[in-house]
Amino acid sequence: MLQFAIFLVQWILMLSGFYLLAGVIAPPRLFEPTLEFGRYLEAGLKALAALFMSMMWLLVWDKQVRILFFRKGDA
Amino acid sequence: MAQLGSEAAAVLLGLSAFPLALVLTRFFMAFNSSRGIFGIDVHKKERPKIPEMCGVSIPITLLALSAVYGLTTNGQHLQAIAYAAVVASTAIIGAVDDLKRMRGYYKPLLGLLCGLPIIVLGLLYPDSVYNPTLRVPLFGGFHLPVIYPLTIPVAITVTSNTVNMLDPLNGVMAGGVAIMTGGLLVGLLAKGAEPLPIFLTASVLFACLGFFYFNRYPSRAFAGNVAQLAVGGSVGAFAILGRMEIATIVAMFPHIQNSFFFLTKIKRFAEHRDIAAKPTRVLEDGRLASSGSPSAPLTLVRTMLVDGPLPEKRVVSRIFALFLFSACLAAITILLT
Repeated sequence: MLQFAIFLVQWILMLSGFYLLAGVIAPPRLFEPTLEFGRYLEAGLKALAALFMSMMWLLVWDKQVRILFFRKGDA
Repeated sequence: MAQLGSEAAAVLLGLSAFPLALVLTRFFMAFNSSRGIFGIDVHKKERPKIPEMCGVSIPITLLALSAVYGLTTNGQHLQAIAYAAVVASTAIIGAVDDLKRMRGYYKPLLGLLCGLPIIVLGLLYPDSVYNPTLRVPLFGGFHLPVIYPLTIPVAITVTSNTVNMLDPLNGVMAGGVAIMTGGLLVGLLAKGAEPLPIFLTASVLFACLGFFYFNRYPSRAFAGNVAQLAVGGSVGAFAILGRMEIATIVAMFPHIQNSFFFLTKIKRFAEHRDIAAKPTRVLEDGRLASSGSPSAPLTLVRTMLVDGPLPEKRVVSRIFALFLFSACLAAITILLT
């Protein structure tokens, strides 16, 4: 049952992450459209934000498994 | 009505994978035995010798059916060719690993090359192979014309290697992938998706089931890297070509957990046979137990055994329950997308 709960939490976090990406991170324009390479810089920064969120997502998964299953020093 | 007809045809063509994989697996059980190609079932006390590489029936089945699909549909032959190229190339890498024993990091590196057919065909025929707009549940999509093609090789090598890493017990790979593709198929049919993703998921589902008949506990046939990598490659390919990337990630939650905790503990790409500290051990009564070794990887099987030893069959059932749960989440994800 704990493992089901972990999957459910990760799924909800994933959907929440997509909300943040689609609603908060993607829309703002960071550079003037006339700026050379501005479009690519903006895409790169937003991709980095998505990468950071993916790392956080995995970190939460890691902590859940370690706390719920391996807290007794088994690992 | 025409749409309903093509969906039904896609499912029926996928369904034909079952008898084909069944017959081919039986053939390779005899053929590989006669060639002395065996593996040891290390989770049984008697350590029986089982015919190895019999799962080659799965990529052969998928290749045959994708050829039929490409030849009998209009305008989808490029996607069928890209899919077949991924399945064939991942199967070849797996076969070489089965026969020559490659070092651990070769498979992820070579797996990157297996995604190239999709990119090359996509560059040659824009908008005919993959769509660089990533559809996400509830919140529309992201148009990623540069990043999307760059992630395709990574996606193929990750899916193929992560499926390769989760076949520790009898029937886990074939049964697990069958359950996850079953969930995806239900979601696609409920949503009224295009015939291509329906065909691709149905063919993987029924090919895996055909092999599972002989691979289930107690196994009479082992898959081998040839099948594990090819099935993983096909999962990555159908996620991209069928535009169900996010749902496939959700369906693969058990794979992701297993691979992530293996890699974070071992900190390198390594074969299970090269790991000194094994995650599990077989007790005198035949049950499986966690090894308790602090340096052993925290695999999914070890997580299932954390509360105490269990018979192999029970561990497999628990892993299948996890696949069923993630498959349900994946079906919901498709409906939300």
